[in-house]
Amino acid sequence: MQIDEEFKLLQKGVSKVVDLCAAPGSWSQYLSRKLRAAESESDVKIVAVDLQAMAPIDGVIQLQGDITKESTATEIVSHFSGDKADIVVCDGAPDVTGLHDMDEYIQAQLVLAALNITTHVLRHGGKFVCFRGKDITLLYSQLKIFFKEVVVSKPRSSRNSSVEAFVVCLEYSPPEGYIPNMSNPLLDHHYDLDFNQLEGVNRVVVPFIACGDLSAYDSDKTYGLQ
Amino acid sequence: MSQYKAICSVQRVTAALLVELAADLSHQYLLLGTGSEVCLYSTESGKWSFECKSDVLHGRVVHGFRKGNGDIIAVFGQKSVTILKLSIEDTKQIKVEVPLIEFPDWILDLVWFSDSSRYAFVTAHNILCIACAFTGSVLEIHRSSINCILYSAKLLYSCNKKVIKSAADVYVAAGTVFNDVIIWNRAQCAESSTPSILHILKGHKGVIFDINIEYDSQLVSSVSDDRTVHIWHYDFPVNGARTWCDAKFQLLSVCHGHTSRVWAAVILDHKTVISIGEDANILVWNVDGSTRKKIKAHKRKNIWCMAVSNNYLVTCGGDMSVKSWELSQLLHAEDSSESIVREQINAVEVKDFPRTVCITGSSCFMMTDQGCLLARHLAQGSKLCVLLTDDRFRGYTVMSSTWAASDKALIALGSAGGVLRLILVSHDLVVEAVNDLDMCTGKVMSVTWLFDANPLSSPLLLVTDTNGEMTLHEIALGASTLSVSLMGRYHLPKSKQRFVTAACLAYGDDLLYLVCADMVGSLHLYVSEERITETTSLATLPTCSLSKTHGKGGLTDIHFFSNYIHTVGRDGFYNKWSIIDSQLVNCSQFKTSKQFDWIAKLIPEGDGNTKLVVFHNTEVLLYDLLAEQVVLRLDCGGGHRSWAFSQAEGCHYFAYIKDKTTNLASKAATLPCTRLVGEHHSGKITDCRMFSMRGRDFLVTSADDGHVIVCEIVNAAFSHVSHEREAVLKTRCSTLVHISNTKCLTLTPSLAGNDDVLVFSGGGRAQLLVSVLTCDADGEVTGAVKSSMNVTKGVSMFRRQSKDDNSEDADVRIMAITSHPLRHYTHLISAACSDGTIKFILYDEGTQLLHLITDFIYEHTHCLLTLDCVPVSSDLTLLISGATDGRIILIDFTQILNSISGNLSKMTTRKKVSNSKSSSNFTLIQPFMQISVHQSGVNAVSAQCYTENTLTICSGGDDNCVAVSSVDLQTKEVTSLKHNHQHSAQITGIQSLTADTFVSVSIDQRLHMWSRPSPSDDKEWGVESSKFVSVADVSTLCCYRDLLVVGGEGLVMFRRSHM
Ligand SMILES: C[S@@+](CC[C@H](N)C(=O)[O-])C[C@H]1O[C@@H](n2cnc3c(N)ncnc32)[C@H](O)[C@@H]1O
Repeated sequence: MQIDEEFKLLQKGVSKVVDLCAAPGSWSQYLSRKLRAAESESDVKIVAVDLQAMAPIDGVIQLQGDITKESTATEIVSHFSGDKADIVVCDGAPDVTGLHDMDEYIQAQLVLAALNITTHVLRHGGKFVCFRGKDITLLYSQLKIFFKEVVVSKPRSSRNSSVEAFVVCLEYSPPEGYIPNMSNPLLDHHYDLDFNQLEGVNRVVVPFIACGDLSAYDSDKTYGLQ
Repeated sequence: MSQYKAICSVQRVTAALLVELAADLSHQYLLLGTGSEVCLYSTESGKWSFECKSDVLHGRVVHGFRKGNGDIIAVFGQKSVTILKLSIEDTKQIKVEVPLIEFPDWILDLVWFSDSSRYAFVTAHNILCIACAFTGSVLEIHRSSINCILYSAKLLYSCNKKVIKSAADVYVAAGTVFNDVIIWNRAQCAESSTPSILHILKGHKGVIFDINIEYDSQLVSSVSDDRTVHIWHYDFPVNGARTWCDAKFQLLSVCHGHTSRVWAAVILDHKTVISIGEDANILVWNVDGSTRKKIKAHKRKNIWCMAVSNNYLVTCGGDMSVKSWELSQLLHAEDSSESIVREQINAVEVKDFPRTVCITGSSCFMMTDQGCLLARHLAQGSKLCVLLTDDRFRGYTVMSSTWAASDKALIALGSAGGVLRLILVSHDLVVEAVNDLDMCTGKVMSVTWLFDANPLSSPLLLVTDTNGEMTLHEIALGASTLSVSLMGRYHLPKSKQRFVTAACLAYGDDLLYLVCADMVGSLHLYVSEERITETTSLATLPTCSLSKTHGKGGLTDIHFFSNYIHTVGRDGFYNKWSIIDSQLVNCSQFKTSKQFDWIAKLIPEGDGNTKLVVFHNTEVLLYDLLAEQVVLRLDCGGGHRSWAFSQAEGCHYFAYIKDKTTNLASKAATLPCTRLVGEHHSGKITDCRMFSMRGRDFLVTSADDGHVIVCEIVNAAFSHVSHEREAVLKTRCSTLVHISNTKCLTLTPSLAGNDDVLVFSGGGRAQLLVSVLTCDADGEVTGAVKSSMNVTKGVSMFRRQSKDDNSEDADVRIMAITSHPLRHYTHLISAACSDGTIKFILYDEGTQLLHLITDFIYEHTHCLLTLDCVPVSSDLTLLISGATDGRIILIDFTQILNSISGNLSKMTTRKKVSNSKSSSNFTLIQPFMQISVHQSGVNAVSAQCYTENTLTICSGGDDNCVAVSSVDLQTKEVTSLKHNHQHSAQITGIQSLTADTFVSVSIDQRLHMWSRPSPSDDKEWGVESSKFVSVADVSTLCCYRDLLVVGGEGLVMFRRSHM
């Protein structure tokens, strides 16, 4: 919600949103409240997707499924056949496999799956926001193909070294002549083939912008119980 | 230019395989994958030896091994595969047969074609590929019709022949995110272009982590996030073909027993499945889903992976250790009674006989009727020794023993004439010290050691006299002395049998309490006292007394842990109590599922598990509460007046006195396992330091698991001859335990004029711990905790032990720590805390006491993350701290030092000030200056003064930025240079090396060496070289001479060499 203010995500005119990995639904709720207050009810469309079932939320279309699965992606896209979405948000947190590198990989695949869905449903100039962008540096080059601006951010007062960083992609503008494809060849998993002299996964440095107010509650600080 | 080379590491094992090699069938071989390395071990009859290792995946992580023909091994990890040949002729060697090949997708499983010319692998996108073994070129690609991300997959043979000649012979069992196991193959629909799904196994309620098959018994296992193992049976129609297409799957059983995620399972034969998981347990199952055995095989959390052969099970734990278990013993259904060893021990004199018995460590102590104290080791056939004989202890003695530092036993004896005798006995049963005290006029009614006091602190003894007066004593151990000081005096209410049977210290309402039970089963609660000196002071009365808490039979044992008081009794009940407003409040009461009638003892084991010693009919049982099973059963003919139970050196011992002799029964406690790789931290490493002591080099690490571990660095000294030699870390001691996690540590030489080194460590619960490391000529290091303090309250934490982590977040954490030697054996410790304060604490090596100095207070609005202390000039020393708001704060430390030095003696002798804020004469410290360079938290700072009046501060932040700030100390002018483009994630470690070089490390797993052409050239800082760090979640960096250690989930040590 802090990033909403910083990046003016839900400014006037925003009415159609896809909320990926939405359970238990706190973001969906926030979206629903904010959009339905600002826009006429008939314009607002919120599609929320998760593996887990969610409690119903007013004005939110809920789908249950794996966002990396082609059939789920197709279903989401079908809701946006005519009018495209203004924003896609994804808060996917994969189950931990215990293998650090595998966790990182699956996290990246979730983001890629979300990006793939995004290319089908997002209007030109739209935004894509990924929470939990700790490992996003792996995907920067992919994101840059589709968006004019990509930044990593973190609430200024956030906990040290936690995963609360998120990625904000502004101004969707796919390459000329790009036709979204469900089995996503363009987005396929070739993202780190260019190994340099250094061993290990090749990471890209993404601009960092802290957001939020310094005077905000410091989640790291231990406050007395006054 | 200098370069760093990795010389050793401590990392978890991510893959294991037991193999037999055609070239040598007399040994079993084991391959382990740690990081990008493969290690080879061999065994002959159970003794394992390390053979060799090799880095084969270069910066990737080994995920699996698959054996092909002719001792060829395919190693896969992430997206790459390499083929190795194990050569074991003269020298054992791992040879690379086909160098590393990088494929486009993440590999989950691999199988060899029958002739080893090709292999098939399945990827995380549910794609099956066939590749040429020699060139690695991909020959075929088959996509499943279900296009999704997999968490696991296993490649299967066709069900009637274990032969693979083409892709059509390979079947994929895929573990999905949406709880299904999907079996598919490309051949079934050769005509249509999409491969078909043959089976969907539905039943799990979470992501699938592992799938396995056993063809003979037609069983498939799957394990999941849902904490279960599912066992599936497949069969074929009576007259149908035996193909996967026609097979019918049936869910045979669902195995519930793991308390957390299950990582893997294997099917051993027609009736056994073994699984491992996050709860660090090995579970042995019958295929009907019933548990045959449950073994807590590793410390704390996780068994990451396992390997099985006909003889062994190898498990690799979250505690970094690797253990090998004999399969035959593991599969044994119930422990048989044959393994019980029984012995009888008689008194030395014919007419004499033992009256009481107790066990501590690996020794058993007996007091005889004639006043003779006997001792012997528990091991079968050990020699009996007479420790002391004294007429005063004839006919009547109360006895109790406890563990004292370095494997010694401390025995308390109480006589009929009021004498209390304390005896310190060494491990080899030599009396090292004796102290006799006149306690009371009448009989000493009971002596009780308080076990729940911090085991590292001095032992505490509670003595009851005939008048119901209880006295609490602290026993300080010297080299050959035992000094006793009175800690408190308590009044035990009148009752028919007025003496204590069980007692413990408990913590509640922010106060320390003494809880004790008398012979008739009443429970009493007392507010504990500060150390008292006047012997005339009045005895404390209980704030709460409850009678008959465990029925008529009475209460048998009390312990305090996890914030509750736990009691058990002869009514078979287990009660939990908490302290609210100085009253005991019952929180739960239950009987075990087995309905025992007499619970005699409660053994808290940490990790949330508890065992009970129970008398049931004619047997004594050891019952595991968590596993809900009897782990030991001994026939002893019923309950006994004097008995003792212990678990020592892999054995359970039970001693009891019957018919005037001591009966000692013993039985192997746990399954014998061999440790191939020893334990290290079982949590994230948070800080590390290196030092030398008596010519040896050591590494000290602290971690989330609350431990501080000291390892010797062997062979790491730089030498031109042994240029290539790697280092070995030998764990020397790991006894220093924090009650919560440990965040930081600092080392300093002792001022006592010996070679000892002091360790100050800080962590959760505002705990500061002082320990001393001593090294003997053989390099054996002993660590002894000397003092412990809650730095927010300024009170000793030794007896305020509670292992509960619930309230941790509300608590203050010490985030970073430095120390400064003063005179008079005194050190000044600065501790940067999560509440934004820096606390100053004095430690006196002579008295071993910590004093919180409340005269100085530094308070920042945000949590402090890091701290460094820099002598700038002869009259200025600065403390430099980084905070979560991106600020670097400089504090004039000299001022503080000066005023403390002047008042040193006054300060250390002053009475404790209970509330710092209200004391009038404190100074609020103003920062010398503040620098804002980072957008968010400053995780690391390192500062040096290389030229006069200019301070260079290197800092690394949560904003991925490395900053170098030059501070003109005269004008307080700052020039900061920010480097945003070298690290792609948070910087968590930084260290200034020389005026022209520093190193930084980040959780992007990069170690950067920075340099500039000349100190005057502020703008020219650049990364000179970089190194990949195989440790995930890097959190700390330290340099010492030419060594550099990076810690996180494991650690890597580098050595610098100049080129
Ligand atoms: C942190 S929660 C999301 C919280 C949510 N945004 C909110 O505001 O309440 C992460 C979610 O990711 C979902 N998830 C993980 N993998 C997924 C996948 N492959 N497809 C769909 N959802 C997935 C999980 O089920 C989980 O509910």
